[in-house]
Amino acid sequence: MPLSFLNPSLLFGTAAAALPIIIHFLSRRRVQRRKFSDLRFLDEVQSRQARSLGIRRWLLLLLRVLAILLVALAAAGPRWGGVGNSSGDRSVLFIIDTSASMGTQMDEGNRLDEALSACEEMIRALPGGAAVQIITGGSLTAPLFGDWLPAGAGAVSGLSVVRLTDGPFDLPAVLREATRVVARAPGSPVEVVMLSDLQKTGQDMRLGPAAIRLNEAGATRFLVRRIGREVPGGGILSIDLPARAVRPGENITLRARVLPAYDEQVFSLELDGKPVAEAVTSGVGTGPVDIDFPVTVPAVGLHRGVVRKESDAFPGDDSRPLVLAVPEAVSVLLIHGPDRPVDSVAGRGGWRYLAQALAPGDGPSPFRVRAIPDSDLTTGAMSASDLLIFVNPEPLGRRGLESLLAWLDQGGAALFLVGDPAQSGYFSQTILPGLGLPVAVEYQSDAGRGQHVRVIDPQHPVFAGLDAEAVATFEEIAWRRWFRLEEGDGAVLLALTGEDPVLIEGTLGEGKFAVLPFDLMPQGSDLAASPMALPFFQRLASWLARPGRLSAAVNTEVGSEAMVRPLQPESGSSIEKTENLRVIDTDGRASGIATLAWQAGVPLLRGGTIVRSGFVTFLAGQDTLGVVAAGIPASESTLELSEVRDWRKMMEELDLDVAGDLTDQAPADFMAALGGRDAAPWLLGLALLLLLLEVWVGRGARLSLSPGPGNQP
Amino acid sequence: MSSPLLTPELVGHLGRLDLVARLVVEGFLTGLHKSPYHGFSSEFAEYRQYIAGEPVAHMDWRVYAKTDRHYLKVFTEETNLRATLLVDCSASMDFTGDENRPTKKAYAGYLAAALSYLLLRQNDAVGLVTFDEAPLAMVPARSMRKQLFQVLKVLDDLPTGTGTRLGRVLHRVAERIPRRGLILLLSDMMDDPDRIISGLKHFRHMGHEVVVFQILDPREVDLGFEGEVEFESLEEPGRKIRMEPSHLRESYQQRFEQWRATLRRECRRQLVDLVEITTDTPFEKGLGAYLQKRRRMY
Repeated sequence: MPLSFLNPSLLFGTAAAALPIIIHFLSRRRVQRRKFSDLRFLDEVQSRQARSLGIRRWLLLLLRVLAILLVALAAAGPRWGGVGNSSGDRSVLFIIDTSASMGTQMDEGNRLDEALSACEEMIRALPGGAAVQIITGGSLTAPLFGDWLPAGAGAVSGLSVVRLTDGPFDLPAVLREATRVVARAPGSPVEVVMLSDLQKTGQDMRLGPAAIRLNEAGATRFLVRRIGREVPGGGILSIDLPARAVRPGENITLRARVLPAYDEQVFSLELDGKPVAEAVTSGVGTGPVDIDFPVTVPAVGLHRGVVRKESDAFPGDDSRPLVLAVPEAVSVLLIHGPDRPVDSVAGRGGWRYLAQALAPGDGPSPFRVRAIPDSDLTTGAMSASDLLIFVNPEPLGRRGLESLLAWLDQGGAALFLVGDPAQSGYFSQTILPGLGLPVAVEYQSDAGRGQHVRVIDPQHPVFAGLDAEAVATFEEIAWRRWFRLEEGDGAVLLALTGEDPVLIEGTLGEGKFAVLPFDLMPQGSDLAASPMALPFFQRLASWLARPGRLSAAVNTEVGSEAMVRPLQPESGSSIEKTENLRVIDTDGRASGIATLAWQAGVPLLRGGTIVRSGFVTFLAGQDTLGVVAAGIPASESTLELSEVRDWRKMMEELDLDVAGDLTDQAPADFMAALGGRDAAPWLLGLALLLLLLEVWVGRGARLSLSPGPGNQP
Repeated sequence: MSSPLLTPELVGHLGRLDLVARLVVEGFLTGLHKSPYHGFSSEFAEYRQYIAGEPVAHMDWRVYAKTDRHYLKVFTEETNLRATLLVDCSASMDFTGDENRPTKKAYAGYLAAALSYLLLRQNDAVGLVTFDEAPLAMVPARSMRKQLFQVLKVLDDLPTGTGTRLGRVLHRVAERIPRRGLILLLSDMMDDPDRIISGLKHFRHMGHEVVVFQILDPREVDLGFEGEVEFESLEEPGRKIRMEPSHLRESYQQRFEQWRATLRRECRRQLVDLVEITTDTPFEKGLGAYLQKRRRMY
């Protein structure tokens, strides 16, 4: 809309343009009829000038109409070239990107500094009657003011509290906040001015519904101002910690995914404040690469670390924190069916073999095993464990099963060994459907020499590092009784000669499980008697009991909630006394009291959404209950920025109206860009010009009005 | 010289033409006391006693020397001038641009009546011809007292004519006035100047002295109309032109003046006196022009 009006209601004045037309036609009706002596001279002069006079008459009419029209338009406050609402009750919503990428350095300050400066100038350029609201979108997406404020110093002063976050720009969340804000806007349509670097992001399925709700809330018109330009650089995108419990003194590898900025870039790892290892990349421009840091696992406890690189224009991903949990032992709860007289000394299903394999008792073990009959299983016992192992369990009951599945869903880990033919019904009808596996179960028996097993993926963490002889030994074990299963969505780690799977892994929510369709009785297999039984079960249990979301050490990204499963306090403090539960935020400040919650019987400490990269520490008195290491999202390290036209296309596909691009506009000219330049002086000047032209064209008529010889009385 | 009581607008309301003629002429002659004109006859008739205040130009100083009394010489009137009034009655003469002003034809009638009265008062012979495209009525020139009534009778009932073919009419009239004399043409001259001059030449060839009173309405001269006007021709009923005079006024006035200048030039060349008067002009101008001509002739 190139031409708009501040006071559209005054456009009724354009009706005055009809006056000359009305007068023209009324005057045409008042034709005097006169007798005249001789028409010869009239005939001569009229035939010579009739055509020009006719044209002049219509030209005069046109000039008069246009002149009045222009004056009427000028009175209505015309604005030329505006892309937004030009009426007086303008509502302008500024969306300021406070994501990590806005910390990219520019010539003066960073992108956020420029966005805030531009926003301030735009607010100052708004007329007094305009209303302003600001939404910041980063780790936290929230309106800056409680309600719409009048444009002015108050709104400008609010910008001083806007801070950079290390989180991503969450456009769906921004649209949701905008929906709430637009619904309360004093004027419509709402001009939504987006101040962002328009960093490239992937598709987000939440965008469509958010855009629909925004459109339902009220009319909006987006204007975008892209801040900054693409700059070269690299960063640390993510860190992979061992997907299993580690033991002190163990040699492990920490793998970091990095984006090198140049060839042979050095990345370093610090642990507990001390340099531990360095890694050098080779090549550049090929995208993210993985680098490995060899690490000897330190003592039991929570260890803070950081991977660093040389700083560049975007400091947000120059270092990435990590927290490594070294548990004293993995707490394993072994649940078995009640022993019967017919069961051997190994217990029902051979559960004692398994307990012995995990904790031999003749030396230190990474596992602390507690065996209970299934009838003694409680939610509290479950939540205190890192891993649950079920061996031929009796039916748990509906509530017991629901608790188990909820615990798994929250990040628990479980291993199921079921090989008793009497359990087939419970196994197939309850356990397998609960885990999301197919229900088809068929009991298999090979009374002869049995079938041997095959390792499907020797690089899987359970088998990685085993030498060939160990693997061969493992594969020589004979299986004689088992349940034939189908893996469904799970993955097969071990399969028999006849291709029946005997080890299936799968996930349930945040949790992880493994199913062994046999037990450890000698009639079923030779596994219990094999020297590979101990390393196999220890590796399997270690891998299942990985430090997950429900650990006291959590590695996550900015924007997520700080949440840990607390360690037991050592100094007698109780987590039940919530006033003792403190949170130290990423800036090292005591940000408040942690919230204690229980989920599926698991205690959880919550410290709120993480805004900045760093460590969130949960304390009870002097005891550290948990640590969360939050790095910036990997997407923020992507330095590619969207073109405005691409962003506009994306918004328009969401049925959101993108009215204009303010990128190349000076912020002080915001009003001109929004409402257009004041066209009234131009229109008035043009009207004056037309009037002068009208006088010139109709000068004959003007002269005839003055008293002449023929008009004298 | 002008009589404020006898404007064309006023005499229009007087009605009787004889009264108009007498008032106009008497008023005009009274005003002549201060003028260089003091009598038209050349033959002595008698003496009369001088009254104080009268001009002393005709005082007979010889008698004063003998008798010590003041006597004025009174001259007898001559009757050898034969004047013929040619009054245009064409349709164009029925035009007036203002309802309060007489039409050109009425003005011509008043002026012709006054001239007749003046001429007959001097015992000159007066004749009258009215015409439009052709001669309509003709009163032969006589110097009798009752001639005035003959002339006024025709002037009192001037017909409404049709178009103007002035050139041809002048030729026909010239053929019918064989004796030399004074031709007084009262017309708006709305015809082709060449044809008009051709007719006037005919009169000159016959030995006549010619005075042309071109009578126009002021609106014809300045086209002083406002707004949109539809003009209908008086001479060609049904022919109309619609225009805004204000847009054409300048061009019209230029063209009109060009036409009048042609007439002036040609009249001067043919030794014809052209008196341009408009219907708002006092009649004295016409009478004065005639007297000037009369004086040059005798």
